[in-house]
Amino acid sequence: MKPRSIVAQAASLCYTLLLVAGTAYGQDRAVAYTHIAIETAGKAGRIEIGTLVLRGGKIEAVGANVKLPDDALVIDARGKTIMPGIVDPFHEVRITGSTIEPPAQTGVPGRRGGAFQARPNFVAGPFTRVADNFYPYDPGYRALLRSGLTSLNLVTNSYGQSAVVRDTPDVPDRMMINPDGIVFTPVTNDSASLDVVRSALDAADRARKGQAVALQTTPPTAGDATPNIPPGGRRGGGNRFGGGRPGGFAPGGGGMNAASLKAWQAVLEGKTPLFANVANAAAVVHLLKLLEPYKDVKLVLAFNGPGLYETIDLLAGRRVRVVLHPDVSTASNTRDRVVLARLLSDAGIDFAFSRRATPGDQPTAQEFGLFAVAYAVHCGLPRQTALEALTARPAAFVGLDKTHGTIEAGKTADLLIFSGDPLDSTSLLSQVLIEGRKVYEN
Amino acid sequence: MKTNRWPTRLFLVLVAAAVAQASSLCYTRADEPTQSKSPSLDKKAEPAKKSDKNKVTAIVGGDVYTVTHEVIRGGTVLIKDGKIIRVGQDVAVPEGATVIDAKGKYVTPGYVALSMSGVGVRGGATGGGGRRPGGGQRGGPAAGGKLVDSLDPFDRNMKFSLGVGITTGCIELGGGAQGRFGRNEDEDDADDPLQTCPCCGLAILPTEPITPQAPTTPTPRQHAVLKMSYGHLDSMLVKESPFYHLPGTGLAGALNRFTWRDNLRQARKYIDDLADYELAIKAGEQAFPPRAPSEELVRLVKKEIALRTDASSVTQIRDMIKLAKELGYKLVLENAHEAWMCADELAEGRAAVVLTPRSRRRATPGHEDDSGSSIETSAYLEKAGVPFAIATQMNSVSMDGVNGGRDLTGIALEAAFAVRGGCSEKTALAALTLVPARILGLEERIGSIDEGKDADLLILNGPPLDYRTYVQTAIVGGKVCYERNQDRIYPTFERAGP
Repeated sequence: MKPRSIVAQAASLCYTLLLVAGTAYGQDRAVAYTHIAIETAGKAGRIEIGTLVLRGGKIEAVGANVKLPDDALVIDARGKTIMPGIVDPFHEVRITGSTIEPPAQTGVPGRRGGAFQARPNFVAGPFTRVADNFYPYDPGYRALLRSGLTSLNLVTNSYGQSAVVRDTPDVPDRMMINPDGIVFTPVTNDSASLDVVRSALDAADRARKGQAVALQTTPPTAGDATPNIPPGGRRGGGNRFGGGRPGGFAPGGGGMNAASLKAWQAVLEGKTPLFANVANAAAVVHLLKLLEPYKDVKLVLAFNGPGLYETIDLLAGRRVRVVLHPDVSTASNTRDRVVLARLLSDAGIDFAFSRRATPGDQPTAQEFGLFAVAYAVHCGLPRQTALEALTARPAAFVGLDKTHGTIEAGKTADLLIFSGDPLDSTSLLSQVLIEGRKVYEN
Repeated sequence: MKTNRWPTRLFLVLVAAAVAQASSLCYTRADEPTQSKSPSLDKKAEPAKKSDKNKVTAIVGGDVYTVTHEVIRGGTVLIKDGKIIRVGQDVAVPEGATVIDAKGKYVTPGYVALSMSGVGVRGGATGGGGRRPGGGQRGGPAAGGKLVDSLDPFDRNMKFSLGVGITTGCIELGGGAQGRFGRNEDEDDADDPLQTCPCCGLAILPTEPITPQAPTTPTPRQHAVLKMSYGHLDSMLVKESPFYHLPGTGLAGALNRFTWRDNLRQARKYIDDLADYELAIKAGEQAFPPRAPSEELVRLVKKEIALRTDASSVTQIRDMIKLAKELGYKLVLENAHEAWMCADELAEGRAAVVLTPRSRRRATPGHEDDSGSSIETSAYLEKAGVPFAIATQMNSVSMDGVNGGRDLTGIALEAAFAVRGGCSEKTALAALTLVPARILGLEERIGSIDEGKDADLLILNGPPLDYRTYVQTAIVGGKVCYERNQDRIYPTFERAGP
């Protein structure tokens, strides 16, 4: 994997140089937005009427009183609001052969019993590097711009290493930011899923102590030759390019290869977090218990639904972070409405929002925009926290905090311009900028 | 010059931060707590945990139904480290104790349910897993998985169970929810001896099958004893395999009977061989360990656990008693509808019964004239001295459909029907607590309010067997795991007047 990542980095560096030189795209000339409301999502908070200067794909200056550069193209954006591009820390894609397919629904529709939504049995597939299977030409990426998503941490609902990309489908070569992302794995209260984490950490620990770890040699993955990630709504899609199953190990993910061992060592040493896609509150308890001997592991829980509120007391004392859907939903078998984001915020637990939209849900997720976030704010989630949970915090979760997530001088100009307050459902997303370049306009 | 600008910049940043804070507050409602940006470590959790250790909880003023002794009116129960340390009327409450006022209320041991499924394990209300077309969910670890890994301390079904008083349950693993003893709705129809022909409407008389029925391989069903300690994973698992559970069909027919005898013979041989092997090893001789049969079978032969099986008719019950006597194991009978006809024989055979007073069996006309189930079974068993535990007809939690009211949430009501059948209230309460605890081999830990036992207690707002009674508070291992007014899963009204 090493040569690959060096090549990728070199390529990325070349593009950055081109960008700075202004020959490819981006502006050599500065662009200044004036009289605009700025949600910095950073220390400066909200600037009611401010000025934002962009140059060379980066933010040059931001503030209430910024001197305009002489060469700047000045855009008077009175009444509009600008905020950092949304970072989705847990964006699920499908990779044939390493995605858990949902089982056929056997419940009778309309019956109350249908509330027992059949969950996929959390049997992790083989360790899959998303970057090796990355397919930038899927039309789904363009659709995400309409929702203001500028950076994505690509994962599957199974087991592997994520890839961090910027959502620039028009320039596919520039999409990849970090091919060596974060280890993600599904966890529920059963041995199969817990053993994946147990055996991997055990192997990484033995490797750290200099003991031998039996590695499986990786068969060439089909994904290398025929990349096939459709992020869009095709169920079980990805076969049109003839992509086979990524080669790997027996289901259960027990085996280690060089790539997975390296990724898990980074997890063990706390260099990168571990993203655990937890199925229920019980999984959290089991996972915390299992991670007790590994003090350096930085855990991020990705969770769908309200059930996590049961474990808030447990999480409050630890450095565990959470990725959740902003929805306000009903706790199972009760009539209690749970505003999980607010509960986490009150308990001082760091969290980030993800749309947690499965590929099939994308069209719906896109219709409602930031309404769910606005509703959480209405239910008492501090507004600044809500905006940070869309931008700065997920950027920090996926290791982009130095370059992305806030509107501050020196950061990448990934920006969203709304016709009004972003959390007002009547506002429209009028422009999306990635590296200072307009990639979407409404 | 450049360095001089730093303080100014810092000042500006601070002002901006203050402005940001103020502006962000504008958007939150006045009554909202202020945000805490950086996750601060919890300050209260740690010391609280430590002081919990030696903290005493006192339940004061209630009528304490000890089960093993008489009712203590206005008694006090002291709890420390999850155990009951004192019970009585003249018990001084130590200083600093947490006092739970139970004045005018009733304190009983937590109930023990012998037939449960889909509670507290993967596949419960929150777990997932497949759903059967018949309506039940599977529970228990997936194939090859460990039970400890599949426990779900946040299963809502545990709350529903606690809400009716169940604090310990014997959970059937891997099985679907069903009417107990493998009966389901379809089989109810087959139970009816007089089916009519769809074309002519004449009665079809039951006939013997022409070909012999293929013997079923007797595979025992797996159980585990779980505490309903909602939210506390570590205290959940009490015991695995408390029975050797074979459905009655696994012991019916000559071939099954032969296999069963042979299995037990092998288990006995194994115990002898093992003893020989250990002697040989001690003497320094070279020896090979004998091949072990299933662990449960060995424990059954050693009389550490009982055979749990079902026998509905008096013929089947007598057959099971005879077989148990012959092969020498302890016996627990479920579904013993006609136990009232042979209560003395059950007593003599030292068998225990799992009783469902509202469960029915009709006598087969022409074959058995005066048999069938009787509501009075409880009275017959009590008189003969046969220990019996109460179980519900459905072994799962069901909030809707025809099973509502006959599922696990009706367990206290089922005990009340035992009283209706003639047994004393004391026996009926023991059938919910101490007797099932004994059947599970846990009488040292649970089943009564005695010093040294686990603090699994209920505070009820009425007498335990009254249909109007609700569980007010359920305490498992000294921790409050259910509060009727907070959990709000059962009605929370206050009844006006006595």
